[in-house]
Order: sequence, then structure tokens, then C-alpha cells
Amino acid sequence: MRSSGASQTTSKNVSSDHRNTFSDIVVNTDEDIFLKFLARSTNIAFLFGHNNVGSFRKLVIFNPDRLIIDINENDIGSAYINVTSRYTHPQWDIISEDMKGDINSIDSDFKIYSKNTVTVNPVRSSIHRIISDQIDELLHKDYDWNSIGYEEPSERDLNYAKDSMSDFITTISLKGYTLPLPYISNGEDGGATIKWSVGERILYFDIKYKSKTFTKVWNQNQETLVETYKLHKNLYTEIWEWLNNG
Amino acid sequence: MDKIDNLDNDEKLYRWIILNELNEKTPPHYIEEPSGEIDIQPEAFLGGERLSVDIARINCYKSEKTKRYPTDGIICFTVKDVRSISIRDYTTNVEHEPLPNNKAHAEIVLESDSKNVTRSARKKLRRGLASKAICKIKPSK
Repeated sequence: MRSSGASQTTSKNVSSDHRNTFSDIVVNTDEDIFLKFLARSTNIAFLFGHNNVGSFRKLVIFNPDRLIIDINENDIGSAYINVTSRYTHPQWDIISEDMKGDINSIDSDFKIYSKNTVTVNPVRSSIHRIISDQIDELLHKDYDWNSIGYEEPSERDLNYAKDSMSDFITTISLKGYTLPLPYISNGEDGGATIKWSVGERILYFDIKYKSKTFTKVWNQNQETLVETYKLHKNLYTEIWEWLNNG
Repeated sequence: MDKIDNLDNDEKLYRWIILNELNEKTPPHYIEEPSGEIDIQPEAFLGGERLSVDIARINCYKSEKTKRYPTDGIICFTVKDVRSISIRDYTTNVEHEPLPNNKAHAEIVLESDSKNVTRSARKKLRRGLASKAICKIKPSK
């Protein structure tokens, strides 16, 4: 499915059926940060990154198999693309979390066209991949579990944590937020603990199979408050905004 | 030395942390940021129901006395920091519990009128403490 080498894309007329058009998409983030879109009709998330601050003039997504990136001249040669599928779909089984890479890695079932020739660099490690790998590592820790009073994690716990984190990252990214890498460690109750700190606010996720909670730690009126709640998807954005708006 | 009944809020407390490279049996007590800054983790406060600390003043602020091993680091916070941690249904405090070989010894305690101390409450305490502790001496080889 994959091919190697720099890719080239050419302009091509395509059907205008089922198109979703996004214009004037501005990438206003620093190096190695993604701009991410979700074509809701296809449940496919598209991620575009730049080496430098730049912009895409137009992005057109044709449902189900056409995508146009109209990229600025001065961004040619520095862009990369990352495509990820949020949900399993029989038509899209080649487009998964693992299908990261240059445009060539998106093969014949998924065409990409552009007005410009774009040399695409290999994508760098995404936050999805890094977090997933770090959670996997938790399974191999050889701590003295009984002595420290921790439950040993199971593969099922960690797979659930990985899926949950992927969902969280996707949701937050789609809102336009950039996620710094968290600190990941073994959870006391098994599974994984994921921690972010921003200023004096700290956010923990404790995730094991079928169990997700978050803990907020922050200062208020001479007190350090520590509160834990169940983690529901509809709270993702609110939680992230809390962390970043301290 | 007699036991101090009510510790002053400004009393400084020391606790040891283990050098990561020598710590294979528990999760890291800290992470060292690329900037060199030490970020204390809740695991630095693993222990029983009462967490041991030293009252710095009684040891004349000699943090070396708190180390268990020469490679240990020392983290520092105050009695006020501990008491400021707000966990629903619990109060937090520090009690001076001098030992024959350590007059500075004290213990961080969680108290509740209505319930036993739960695992979840202890975890919250550790997280609150980690947010307040600063690294006074980095662990080193």
C-alpha cells in the first residue's frame, strides 16, 4: 500500500458531488503543530502540518475519496500530511491511525490533488503515536506492585487508555487547541495516569478499562483544591479550557 | 525534645526523593524537564497512611539529615502548604512525632470525622502535595 520517495500531486478536475469546502485555513501554530479538520460526513480527520507558520488557501474534501489542498507557494516543500480515521469504516480500512506519512502513503483508494506540486516530508511522530507508545511501555514496568499498593496494569486497561486518549486528542485538536505532551505513568488502580501542568493548574486523567476519571489540582483563595470527577466525552473541551485558562 | 503540639504554619518540611536511575521498584518520584527543572510527582509521597517528613528547623535546616542515601534529593514545603490542601470530607495536617533517632520527624495526616481514609483520598493528598513541593536538592549520583 505504501510507496516511497517524494510525492507529487497535480491539479485535476474532480466531481463536485458531496464536497465540503474550507477556505482560508490559517495555520497559526509553531513548528510541528497540526491543524486538524474533521470531515464529519465521512468520519475522517485530516491533519496538515507545516514546518513554519503558513496557511492553506483552500482545502476541499470530496466525499468519499477526493481531497484538494491549495497550498501557498512559499509553503511548498515544507508541508506534510497526516490522515487518520476516527472510526472503522469498510471503505476506509487503509486509513487508520497508523497511516501517517507522506502523501504517497495514501494510496489509490484515496487520491489527493493539489494545484501545486508539493514535496512532502515524512511526518514526524504525532502526539497520538507518542502517547500510545508511552502507554504501551507501562505494561513492561517491573515495579514492586504490592509494596507500593498499585494494581498491575493489564493489556486491556492500557488499550482502553490508548483509545480514550486518542479520542480526547482528536476532540481537542478539532477545537483548535494544541496539546503538549503529557507525562504518563502507571495508575494506582491499574491502567494509565496522564498528567498535564499549565502554570499552577494540574490535570490528571486516570484511565483503566471502562473507568475514566479526571482530577483537577489548582489554587484558589489560599487553598489547594483537589477534585476528582468522572471523565465524559462531553467534558473534554471544558476540561482542557479549564487547564489552559488559569 | 518534647513533642510540639501545634506546628506553626511557617515550619518548613523536608522529604527525600530517590534518584530515578536507582529507582526501579516504584514509579519515578520526579521528572527532570529539559530546562533542568524538577517536577515532583505524587509518587514522591508514596507510603503508609501517615507520610513521614522532617521539620527542617529542628534539624537546623540541614537537609542532609533527611536523606536516606547520598544520592537522594530533598523536596521542601511548609506546614501551611499541607493544611491548604482541600479534599472534600477531609482535613490535612502535620503532626510532630519525634523518634528516638530523629527528633525532627513529623507525619502528614488525613483526617475525617465521617469516614475512613480512602485510597482515593490518599491519592488526592499525594497530588496536592506534589503541586506544592519544590526541589531543594536534586538527586544526584
